Amino acid sequence: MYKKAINRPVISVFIFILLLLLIFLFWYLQIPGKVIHPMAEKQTIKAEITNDATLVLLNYLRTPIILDNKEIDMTDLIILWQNNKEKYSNILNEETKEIFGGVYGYCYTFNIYDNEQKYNFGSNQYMPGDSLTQVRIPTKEGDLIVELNPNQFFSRKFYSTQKGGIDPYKSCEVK
Amino acid sequence: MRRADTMFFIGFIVFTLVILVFATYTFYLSERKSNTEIIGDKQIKLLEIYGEGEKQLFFIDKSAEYVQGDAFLDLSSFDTGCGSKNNYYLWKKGFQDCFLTQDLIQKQFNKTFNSRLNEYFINYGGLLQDNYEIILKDNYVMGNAINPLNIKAENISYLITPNFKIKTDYNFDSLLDISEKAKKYSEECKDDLNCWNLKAQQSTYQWQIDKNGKVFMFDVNTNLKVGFFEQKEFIVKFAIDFEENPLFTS
Repeated sequence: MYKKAINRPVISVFIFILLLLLIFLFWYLQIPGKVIHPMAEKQTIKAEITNDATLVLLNYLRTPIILDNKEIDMTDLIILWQNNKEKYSNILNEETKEIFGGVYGYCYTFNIYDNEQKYNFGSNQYMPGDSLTQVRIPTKEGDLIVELNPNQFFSRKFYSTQKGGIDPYKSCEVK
Repeated sequence: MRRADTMFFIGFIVFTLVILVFATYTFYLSERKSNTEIIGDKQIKLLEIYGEGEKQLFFIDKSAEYVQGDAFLDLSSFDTGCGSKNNYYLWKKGFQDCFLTQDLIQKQFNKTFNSRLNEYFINYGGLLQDNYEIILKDNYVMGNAINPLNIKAENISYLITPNFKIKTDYNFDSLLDISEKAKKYSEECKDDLNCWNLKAQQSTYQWQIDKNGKVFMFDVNTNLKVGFFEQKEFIVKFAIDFEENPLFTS
């Protein structure tokens, strides 16, 4: 009788502890960041930036400019530059700086690949990273690819100061 | 009996806990597997596909803009069905007339435009060759896609009809006008060079006429300049073979 009287509370406590463990396990699995959230958050932000960069780049290419009293767009200017780099480099640089500067401030990389040779416009402080978007321009001479990478702007803006990096607003100077 | 009750009770509790732990573990594993199926994943893919679609539409629009001038210049000389002589296509061969018509020009323009577009599209994966029905009307080139663009990613398929419309500085009028004049003069002058020269002087176009036997060769400057980056003169080239005896034709 005495033995049995002790057994019951012990069993109850044992069961209570097990239930607590079980509840803790459920709670642990539901902690944000343990199972689902990190990838979802990261991909959403990247997609937003990528899509935004694509639209910005396409809008840049469609931006009308006046050259020699004739209205053309930035795509046409890039093709003219491809055929005569010396003559059109300055105007291409100026227009690019004006358009992207208005969107991304200081830090972005804008590259033109002409026959696999890379020409850089934009920030002169290149930070290697994923190229976010590329657009192909039709030319008779072969492939002409333009690439916009505002990634360094975002990464510096959000992370560099935390890691003791350089202030993006002061460090990136457009050529 | 009391001992049996206790044993049953403990057994029942242990059994229940085993089931609960198993269910939790299964739930945990299923969640781990679903990491790739994150919330918003499909929407992100859609955004990426939409972006790719916009890039392809941009490429098509610019290609059409750049080729339209060259495609029109190609109309300056093409086979109308009577063959050629001395590097000139014949618009008349003896009794056979092959003068230009609206349909003939439209058909040829459709062919040359698609051919020019293909040169640009060939290196761009996903863009279809000979995929346009081209119409030139009221100084606008309209390209109606025969098949839609199909951009695929995983199990998403995004269909776009990549039609385009471009404003031009030209139409078929000058070409048809020259053809009508050539037909009229050929009936009036036949193989009389002086008569042809007289008619040419009265025309608004600049006619250059060369003669080789019964074959007359024409270079008619329409005063039109066509081209996007480089403007070229639109000079219509054709020949008329007045030899009516088939024994003398080569």
